[in-house]
Amino acid sequence: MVLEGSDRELVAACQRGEREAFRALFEAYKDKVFSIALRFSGDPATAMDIAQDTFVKLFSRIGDFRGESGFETWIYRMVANSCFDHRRRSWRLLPLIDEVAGRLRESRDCLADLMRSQMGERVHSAVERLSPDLRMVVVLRYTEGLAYEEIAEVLGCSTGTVASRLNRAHKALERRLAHLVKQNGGRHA
Amino acid sequence: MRDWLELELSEHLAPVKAPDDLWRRVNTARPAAAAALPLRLRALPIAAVVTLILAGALWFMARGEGRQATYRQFPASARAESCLLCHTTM
Repeated sequence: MVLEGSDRELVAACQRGEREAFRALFEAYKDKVFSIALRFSGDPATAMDIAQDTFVKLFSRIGDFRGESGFETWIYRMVANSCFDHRRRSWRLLPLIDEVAGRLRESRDCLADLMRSQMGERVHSAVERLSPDLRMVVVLRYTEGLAYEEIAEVLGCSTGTVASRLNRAHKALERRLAHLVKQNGGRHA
Repeated sequence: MRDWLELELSEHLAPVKAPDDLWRRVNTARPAAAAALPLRLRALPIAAVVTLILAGALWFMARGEGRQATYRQFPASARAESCLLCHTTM
């Protein structure tokens, strides 16, 4: 991830306070930011809050960007931190409550599954039940298609940590979703 | 990892378009002030109140112990005489 020429000019214009540049930067990155927020939170309203926070922070701190890392990496780092901050602020005191809520949602969805994409719902539900660290790695990998090295740079950890987190996430997701693949007649098996 | 899982994740976690409303929300967002206060700063008033309560409780306990000590220092013989002033058998 290197700073593209157009991005460099946009960032410089934002640092000079040009309003059109902010809008152009927003247009360039809004889908990426919102997608990460949505896939991480699983809720469109929460994703809007996270995306809003991210852009407000980004615009207020753009003067701090020195170009030492890629601009895209900088934005990814900012949205990842906003996701973690939002989760901390939402006061989920007991992880057990999340677990129970996830299971209730699953059972409630049983009838509706006949009418809509069962697998899609289950994938989202299974991803939502991963711990924030594992979930963020999965989102950056599958929503943004980042390589292990890029994820490590965004999250400020080693490539080995990324690989280990992905491996744990895959195992958990496989456990939670394998029975659906069998039910669906092994669409991908 | 199984191929099916890779396919499912890529399909169901695909990027989405941001709602058009987002730009308006970013523009109308109030500058991060109180809401952006770090958790540590927001916890300070709570910590101060807890410290005051603890200090008050310790002060009351210390006061109670002082009274008991005064009572214990009263000589045993004098104590018996003093008691007889009130507790007399008829």
